[in-house]
This record gives sequence, structure tokens and C-alpha cells, in this order.
Amino acid sequence: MSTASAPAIQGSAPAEAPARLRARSGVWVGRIPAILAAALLGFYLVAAFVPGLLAPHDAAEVNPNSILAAPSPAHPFGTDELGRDILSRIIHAAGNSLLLGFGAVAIALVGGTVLGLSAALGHRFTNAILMRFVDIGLAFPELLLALLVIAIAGAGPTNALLAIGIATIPTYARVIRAEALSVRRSTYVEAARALGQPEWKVLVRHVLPNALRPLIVIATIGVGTATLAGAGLSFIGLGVSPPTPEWGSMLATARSFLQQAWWYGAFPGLAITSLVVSTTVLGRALQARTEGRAA
Amino acid sequence: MLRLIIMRLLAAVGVVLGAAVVTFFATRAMGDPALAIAGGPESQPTPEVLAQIRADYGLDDPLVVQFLAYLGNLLTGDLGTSYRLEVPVTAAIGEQLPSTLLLALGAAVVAVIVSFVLALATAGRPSRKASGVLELAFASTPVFWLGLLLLSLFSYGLGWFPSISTSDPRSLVLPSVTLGLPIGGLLTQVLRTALEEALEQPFVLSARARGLGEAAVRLRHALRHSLIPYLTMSGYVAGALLGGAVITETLFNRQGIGSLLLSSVTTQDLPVVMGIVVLSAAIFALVNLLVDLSYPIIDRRLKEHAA
Repeated sequence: MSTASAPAIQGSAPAEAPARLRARSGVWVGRIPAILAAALLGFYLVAAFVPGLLAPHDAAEVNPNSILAAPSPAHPFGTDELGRDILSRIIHAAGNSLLLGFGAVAIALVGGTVLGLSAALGHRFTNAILMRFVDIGLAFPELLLALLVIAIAGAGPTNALLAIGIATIPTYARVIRAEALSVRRSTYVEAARALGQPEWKVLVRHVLPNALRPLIVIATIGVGTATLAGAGLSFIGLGVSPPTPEWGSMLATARSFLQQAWWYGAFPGLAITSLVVSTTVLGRALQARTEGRAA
Repeated sequence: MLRLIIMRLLAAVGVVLGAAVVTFFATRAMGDPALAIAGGPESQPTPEVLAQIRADYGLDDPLVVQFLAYLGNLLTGDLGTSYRLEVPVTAAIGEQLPSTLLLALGAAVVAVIVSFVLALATAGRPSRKASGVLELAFASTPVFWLGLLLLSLFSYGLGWFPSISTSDPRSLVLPSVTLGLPIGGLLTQVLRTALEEALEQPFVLSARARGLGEAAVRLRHALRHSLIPYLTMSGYVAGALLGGAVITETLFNRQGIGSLLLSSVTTQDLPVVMGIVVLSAAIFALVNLLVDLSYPIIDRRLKEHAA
């Protein structure tokens, strides 16, 4: 508390004035991006669970009379090479695409927590070994690690999900370890110990929840980037393959029809990008909140 | 300085060895390499064929012997033979390397131009809001979607650039922009933040007090100060270029390491995949060594510190 307020008092007057102005006028204005992002994410989640509620057409309905039709009131995003409504397919694809993203983040969270906590709380030797492997993992781009996993385990939606999850474990492990180390030295953990709580209780009730808090931010942003990575794997033919609707595999098919139908390549990608932007905006807003509370 | 180089090289060797250990044992735990050599489960090889392959590739030896042989080859620069192409992995990679290096160079040029222009023009100015939106859009756009949009517009729409790669140098433009723009977005964020920090420093105030124009202040004083975090980030994203190359090369039907990697992953041709992983670790170490070596050139104080 005291360390955070000290620089503010010393801060120069011109730098302080706009900040105060922003704080007064921007209570709602400043939150608009985060609210929009949450709304969009909500839309995709509804689409993932009950696509029939939102989709104007049946996603699998083939129509030979309207093949590669341009966007129109009946088909706002146009139709594909079989005359299927692209908007409906994007909505039906949300579930498959988000499953890749959420599934991969879940794997990375569990794996990262186990690795990070073992490194932070285990023996010095365990820590050294585990962190060397985490460093090795961090030295490679995530897509390359994911491809390595697929080369070993084979292609397909489940393996793509596993591959992205495993490839991102090192990032999560590193954050968890750093957090657990700093939480372990904090005064409330010391207090809990001094009150005679057993070591496991201190770990489960105090260290773990507090070390996990910053992970919420990373996981929120991670859902977007993992969904993007999953769509990328599907795009190069290693994840979900047609006719199952998925944003990346839709784009892969669209590549062959780009000359006739720009909308086929444009709209499924818009879904991915808007998802990544909204999780990033939401993650940053959460970060600002948690940091504000910490100060 | 020599110490730094040696440390970096040792770290790179450690990374490669670690990756080799994990891959070797994961491969053996997950499946039968003899089956992969024979062409996968679809080829339905007879037990005799599999036995012959095991004998030829030394797969009957104890795992430890195989592992030591593999490590020994790795240390002498022998990455093995491709299951699928039946040529040495080094030859297969060497053949594809120039094309990918050209693409990476093109992408780096695009990323550097985009980040310098955007960051220098908008740092500390009202336009930074618009630039921030643009950076977020660039950094959030999947490489494969950006490529499709560029193809739609500039290749099929306006007809300025070819849609697939040929010997025509114009065919390098769209792949370079596709690969470089998202990286440019990321680098702009880093450079702009660093520039804004530098513009608050007393030396900028003193430069302004001496009557220097805004352009001179930014280019001659603030920029140099901001190059260190920029270079650090560049070294970090250099690794991502290879990942992006897989998608970019697929999208534009380009030859290169990326398309070689993809076809090797699809056919589970593990020696080639491993070879590319090793290459990527080596490039990552080399780029970061160059970044480290450039610090004292940019910031003289570090030179005195090191000496």
C-alpha cells in the first residue's frame, strides 16, 4: 500500500492531471471495450452450446441452386462451394473451434500448475531439473512444439488439442512457479504457519489460490491464442478436417475458391480474429483490475 | 565477451540435447518406428518386412545402445536419414533452406519497416490510440487469414501479385507481408512503449532545450535508447518465423523448410522433424547471441561495464 502511493505523491503535476481527468470521466467509457469483448465472447459461447438458436440456416443443408453466392439478405456471409450458408457454418463451427482453445488451456493449466508447484515447493534438485526442461520448452516456438507432438502422436482433433496444450505448458509452469515462490514468502503464509496449520493445508488453502490468481489473466488471453493455434493446425490439415465445421478448416477449403468467392475466405477468419481480440481485451481489463486491487 | 559466446553455445547444445532426449523417448513410447519407416499403419506391412526394417535400422538393439548411437551421430552433425525421402536429413534440409531464408528476410524487412514507421510516428501522440488498435488487430490476425485476405485483394482482385510462388521476385511480396505484418504489430507495441519511456527522460528534455526538432529528438536520441528492448523482442520472435513459415509456405504453395516440416509431420518422418527442431534451436541460439553482442554497440555503457 505505502510503496504504491509514494511515487504518486512525488509524480510531476502535469502527468497527474490527465490521469485524474481520465478517472473521473472514463468510469464507463473506459469499460466499453471490455464490455463489448465480454458480450462477443458470450455470443460465441452460446453458439458453441446451442448453435441452432443463433444460426439462420441448417449448417449442413446443401443447396445446388446457390453455390458460392455472394452475401445477400438471405445469406449475410454468402454461401460455400456446396451452397451451404457460411454464417450458419461459422456459428456451428464455434463449438469445435472453442473446444480446441478451452481444452488446450485446461491441459496447459493442469500441467503447468503441477510442474510449477513441484518446482517451487519441491527439493532444490527437482526445481533445477524441472526448470531446465521448461527452459528447453520455452526456447521453441509453440507451433513447432505442437508439430513435434503431432509428428509423434499423429494428426486429428484430439491430438491437435493435446499438442497445443502440451506446447503451452512451459509458459504456464514458469508463471505458476514464480507466483508460488513469491506467495510462499508472503506474510499471510507465514502467519498461517505460525498459527500451527499443517503444511498441506497451507499449500491448498493459501499458496495455491493466490498463485493461481494471475493465471486467470493468462488463461483468458490463452483461450484466444490457443483457439487460433487450433485453427492454424486445422488449416494445415492436422486438426479438425472437413466436413466437420471448424474455422480453420473452413479457411483451408476457402483457399481453393478464393478467385470466385472472397467472402468465403473473409468471414471465418473474422470469427477467429474477433475472438482473439476480445479475449486479449478482456484479459487486459482483468489484469488492470487485479493490479489495481493489489495496489 | 568470449565467456558470453561460450555460455550461449553451451546453452544451445543443452537445448538441442534436451529436445533430443525427450523426442527420442517419446517416439519410442508412443509407437513403433519400424511401422513409420514402412509407411505407417495404412501400408499394412508383413511381419517379415517389419523384422527386416528393425534389423536394417538397428531397432533390435537395447534402447540405451540406440540412444547413445543417436546422440553420437547428432554430435558429429549426422541427423540421420529421412524415412520417406531416403536421403540424409541434412541434405533434405539444406535443399529447402535458401527459399525459407529468403522468405524470413522479406518478412523481417516488412516487420521492421512497419514497426519503425508506426512507433516513431505515434509514440506519445494522440494518434497512439489508433495505432494501438491497429497493432492489436495485426497481432491478433492469424497468419493464414491475413494471407487469404491479401490473396483475395491483391492477387485475385487487383491482379498485382501472383497467387502462387514462382521465380518471379514479385511472388515474394505477399508471403513476406503475410508473415511479417503480425510480427510487425508485436514489435510496434514494444518499440512504442520503449520510445514513450525514453521521451520522458531528462536527456530528451535537454535535447529539446538545445533547440533540436521533434524528428531529430526522436531519431537521434529517443530511438537509440529504445533499441535494446526492441532487439530483445526481435530475438524472441525470430523463432516464431519458422512456425509462421509452415503456414505461409502452405498457403502460397512455396517450397521451403515449413512445407518440408509439414509433409514430414503428416507422414511421421521423425528424423526430418527432429532435424528441423535442431535447426530451429540452433537458429534461435545464434540470433540471441547476435542480439546479446549488439547491446554494447548500442549502449556504450555496457561496453565499459563488460571491460
